[in-house]
Amino acid sequence: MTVSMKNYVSVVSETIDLQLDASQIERVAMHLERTKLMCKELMDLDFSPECELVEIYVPAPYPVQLPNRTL
Amino acid sequence: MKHTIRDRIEQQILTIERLDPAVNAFTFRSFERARLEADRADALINSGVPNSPLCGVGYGVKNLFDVQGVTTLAGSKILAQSPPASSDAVLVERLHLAGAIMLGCLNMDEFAYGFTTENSHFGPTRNPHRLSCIAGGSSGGSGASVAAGMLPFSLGSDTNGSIRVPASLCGVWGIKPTFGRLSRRGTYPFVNSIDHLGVLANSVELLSASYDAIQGPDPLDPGCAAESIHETFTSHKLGIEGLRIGILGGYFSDHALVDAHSSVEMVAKVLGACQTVTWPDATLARAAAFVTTASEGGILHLEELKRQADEFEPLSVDRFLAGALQPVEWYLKAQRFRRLYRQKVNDLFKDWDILICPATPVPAIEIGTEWLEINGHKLPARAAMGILTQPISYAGCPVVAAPVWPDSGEGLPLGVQIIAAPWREDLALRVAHVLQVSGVCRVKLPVLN
Repeated sequence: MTVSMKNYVSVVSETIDLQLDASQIERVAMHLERTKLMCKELMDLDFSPECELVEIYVPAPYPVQLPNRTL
Repeated sequence: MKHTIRDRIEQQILTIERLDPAVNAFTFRSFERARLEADRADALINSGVPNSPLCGVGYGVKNLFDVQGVTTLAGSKILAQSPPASSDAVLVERLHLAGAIMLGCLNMDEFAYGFTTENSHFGPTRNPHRLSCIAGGSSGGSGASVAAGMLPFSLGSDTNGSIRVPASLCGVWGIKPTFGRLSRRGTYPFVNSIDHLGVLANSVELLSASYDAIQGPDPLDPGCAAESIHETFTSHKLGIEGLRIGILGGYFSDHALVDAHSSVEMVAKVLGACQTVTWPDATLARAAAFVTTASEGGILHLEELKRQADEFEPLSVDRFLAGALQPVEWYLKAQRFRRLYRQKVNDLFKDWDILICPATPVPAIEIGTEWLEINGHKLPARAAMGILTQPISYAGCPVVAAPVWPDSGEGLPLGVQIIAAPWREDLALRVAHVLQVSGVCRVKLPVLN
């Protein structure tokens, strides 16, 4: 496991007030190393700009018909 | 002499009391409620009111479903001090209305993060077909209780394979419907963007009847996309003529060992399926599902992790911690990938109606197994049991897990996934029915004392 991953775990956990002891940092860093390896191909994907997140916030259902109102 | 539903439920209670000490599927037995519901079902029948196929049928729920008057544990001792649920989960309410009889709450991996139900707080659930082996998870109690003959059916949840893995390893039927099909209101979440609920059962008829009974829109659940009920029970008779059925190769073949290949061959033979099909981006989908699960699951429990990490399940706490610390880039890329992935999977189903592949890479492993070797790769056993289910649930497709008993399995089952396009549970259940009639897929009662 890399020193940088252990440092990452140590710094980020401290930033969010998650107390981890040395052995937890070691084990969590090992998990993240394994995940990083697993998702390398995913990280290397080249997304086009229009490939947005799978679901996008919609403020309200698109109206079938706009209400016919006169001011 | 005429036997009442109450008589039958009393027999079932005796069976649970006799078998569960060995299997450890139940974390709570709701026998008083069951007796009341049985008397109500008897009264309904005596009054001549037409009843549903579930009237008087016993069931249990994974202990992440709210059951009125019972504390929802989600497999955790942290929640054990929480107040009892004030009402039933929506699906439990619907089963009550159908006349089904709640017999208890069932063991699971803590917060559903696991595929083995090796729960350190409540003990491991044991596989009824070999007690030294895992039942699969995270709905392990749901699978083992049906396999042991303690319950005809049960409710479970499936984020990455948690219905299909125990169904495969325990040799029972399971259905993980389309993502968004069923209301999740009144259940303890794990990963909002992938959580599904579903059923495990001892026959296709019961699987279908219980699945039909729990369907329906729920305007109060933002995750429920269903606008109507797509009834499946009467569609079995349509058979499989005309259905285009393929066998998944590539990733799904490469991550399967000999018993898994045997199970698929047995099923393919009955269905007349011979063409191999490639599922798009399965490796990427598994990675994306893993990252999504870890991030959402870790953040869901972050406050408890800060306060009492040492009270978590020792087998999964490090995964929760790691998930809470994952870089946001990983999560966002997984979400962008998921849009592309959905399109590719939906395109695949323009050419196919049903695709089949194994549900697990191997049959049930011994409790405590740490590593699995799959085709030259040494993998953590607890995570690897879901390697063949994860890519499918990430797409949200409906799947029926069919119980198969490969000759090479030394008496242990290994299930096959019957996968359909989103919202086509009916097709998967039609195929399941044909497989059941053929005798190749069936539930076998174990010899337990």
